[in-house]
Amino acid sequence: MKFDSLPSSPGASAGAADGVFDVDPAAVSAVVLETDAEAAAFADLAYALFQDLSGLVEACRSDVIGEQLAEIAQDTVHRGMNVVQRRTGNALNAVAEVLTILHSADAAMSDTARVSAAEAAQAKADDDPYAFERPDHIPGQVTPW
Amino acid sequence: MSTGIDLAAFERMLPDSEALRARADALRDTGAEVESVAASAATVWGRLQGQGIYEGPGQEIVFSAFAPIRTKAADIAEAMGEVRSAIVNYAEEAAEIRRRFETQVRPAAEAFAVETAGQTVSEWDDDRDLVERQNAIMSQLSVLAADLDAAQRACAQVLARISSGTSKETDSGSGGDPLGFAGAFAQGAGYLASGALPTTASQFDAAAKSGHGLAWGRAVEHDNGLHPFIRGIGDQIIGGYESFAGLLGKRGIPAQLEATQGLLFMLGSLTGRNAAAEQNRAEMLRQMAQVDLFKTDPSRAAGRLAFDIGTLFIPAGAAAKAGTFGRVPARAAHVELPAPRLEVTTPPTPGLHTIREAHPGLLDRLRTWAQDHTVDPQPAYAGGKPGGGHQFDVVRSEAPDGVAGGGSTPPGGGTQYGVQLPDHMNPNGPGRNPEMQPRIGASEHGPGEWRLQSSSPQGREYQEFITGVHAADGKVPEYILEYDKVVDSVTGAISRTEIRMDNFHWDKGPPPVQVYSDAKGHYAFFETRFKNSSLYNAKLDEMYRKQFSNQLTAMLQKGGNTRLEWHFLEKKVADDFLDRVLSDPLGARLVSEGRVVIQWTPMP
Repeated sequence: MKFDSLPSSPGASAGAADGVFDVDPAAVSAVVLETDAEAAAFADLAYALFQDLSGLVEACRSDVIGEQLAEIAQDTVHRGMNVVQRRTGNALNAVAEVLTILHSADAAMSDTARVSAAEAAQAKADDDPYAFERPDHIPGQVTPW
Repeated sequence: MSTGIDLAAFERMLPDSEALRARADALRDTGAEVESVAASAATVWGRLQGQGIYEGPGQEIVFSAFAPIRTKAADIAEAMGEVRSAIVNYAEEAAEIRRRFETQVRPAAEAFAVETAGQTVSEWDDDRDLVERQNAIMSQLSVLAADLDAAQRACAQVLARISSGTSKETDSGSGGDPLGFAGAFAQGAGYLASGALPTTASQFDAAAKSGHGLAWGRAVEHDNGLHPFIRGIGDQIIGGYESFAGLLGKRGIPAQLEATQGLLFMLGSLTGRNAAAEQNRAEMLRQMAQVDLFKTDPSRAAGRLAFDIGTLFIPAGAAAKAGTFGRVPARAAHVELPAPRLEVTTPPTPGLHTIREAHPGLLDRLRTWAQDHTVDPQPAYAGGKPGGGHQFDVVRSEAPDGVAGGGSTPPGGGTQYGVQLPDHMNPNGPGRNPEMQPRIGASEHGPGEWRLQSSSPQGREYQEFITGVHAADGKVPEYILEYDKVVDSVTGAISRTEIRMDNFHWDKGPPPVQVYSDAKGHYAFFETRFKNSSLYNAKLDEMYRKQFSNQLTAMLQKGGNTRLEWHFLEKKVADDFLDRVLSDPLGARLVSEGRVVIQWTPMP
């Protein structure tokens, strides 16, 4: 289904009477794209942080300090920027997926099913990027305590 | 050396405090930028909450999606600020140590060296006064070394709290180490927990009295006529026992044996694992930022204090000797701690890379929808990732339709056929003839000017190969163009901006062509070094957006019969970059016209 074939735009709506998605695809798309453009800087900044830390390791002339800076690179910068970037990607993708479901998914899908699918997609916007790493989230693995 | 004191060796341990401060400031600023970008992105994202934009059951999940992102970004910014504070404190302490070194130790050591010039130590060690002066200088250095050690450990303690997320916890009062810094360092090593405590001046003194001394020298013993061998044996046994037992706070033979076993274990570790550990550290750091320094001097890059590990390998009497050196190896032991393994699983660049992979075709639809969005005039996707939609900020183009004549007018008067154009072309390779080096300040009948610029050592060789322009003293001539850059696509505001070209030369043709060129080497490792290619793609995107498009804009503004050549050392990088250029209609047209050349040009 083509988006521009939808009967009403902007403000195209899809869904059931008890749970209506009222989405302006053009406006939402603009937000997604602009947010992505802003967030594109995260990759460069992560790289810059590693460079800055490496420069400090070189300049400090101390093994014990260098060791701790490497820990910070690992625990704070790498992990932190990972969270920032993955969460951003999750949010962008979730909304993009909602748009897809609402406006270009299988036309035969009922409104209720589309709303349910959109809600499910929407929920991914807040996914914890590290949830899969927790022992109790690993499928098939028994937590020993 | 007459005194056996190597001031340069000691000085190498002292950091450049100004450089430390500058780097620490840069780190803090970058961290702040992370927070700023997150806030900016969240502001844009917040427009979803506008009336009629995005409404649906559970919409709050979407609206609040950037809250944890902002929180994490703020955490990073705060942590980088704390790192900066710790480093600046350390830099100030190091500066004070350096000041004492320069004002107190160096004059005395240099005066002593003058006085004993031309003599070996054995020629003056029967002079008690000279011996005492030498040892006094060594003791001064021990005090400075101990102070430096304490400053480094204090700094490391603060950093450890930052990395563990406990930087704001109050001090428990139990030894001023709520994190258990000693335990943290001992973890994984299984020995010498005392390494968490600063090395004292007396321990440095003890090490200085050993046969091998310290990296910067050794104490001299007054020659009282006893055979040196006898004196050495006695010193090593007595000093070793006392020093090492004292180190662990224990007394008695069992304690010494226990300590000796620990040291022997460590010695074995050093001989067997040191290289691997250091390699691991260097590799990790290379992964962090690909700093080429680590290729040439990993020890320095890792910030190791320059103790002479060789002093640990004692030819005889290792058990007794252990005591004397018991405290010094504690520092070296840090080398053996398991290096933090930086699993650089560089996260995917958020946004369209991911969207493109997850939803083929959606990207184009998003752009179409965005173009329909007339409420916000901000251009869609200002980030400029290639793939369509990105327009070069061309103000005007006087590029001729045909190649013949071209109709351009080189600066300096006269038509391009009316001046005697130099034949710059290198008959044996790309770029200009190496015998025709550019002159600084010259325009060479082009629209710009040659100026000396800094250049990175890793790319210099390839740049010289491509351009034929020689670098000297870390600087290389580059061709600078001024052009009008659109800095606000909404208002059309422009700014006079300079752009660098690696080379400018004339291809005589016919017809004559002004050739601008750039050399790009050593980028493929971005893809292979990390577990995915997001950083590699980000670098190419940045190169395309910030450099290539600006160079092209500048070239087109200047007019004339021109060509922009980008040469790549690696084929894959050339291919991937060409894809980006071809994704833009203007880029594709110029490539088809031969006015843009993206080429793999390997070095022989």
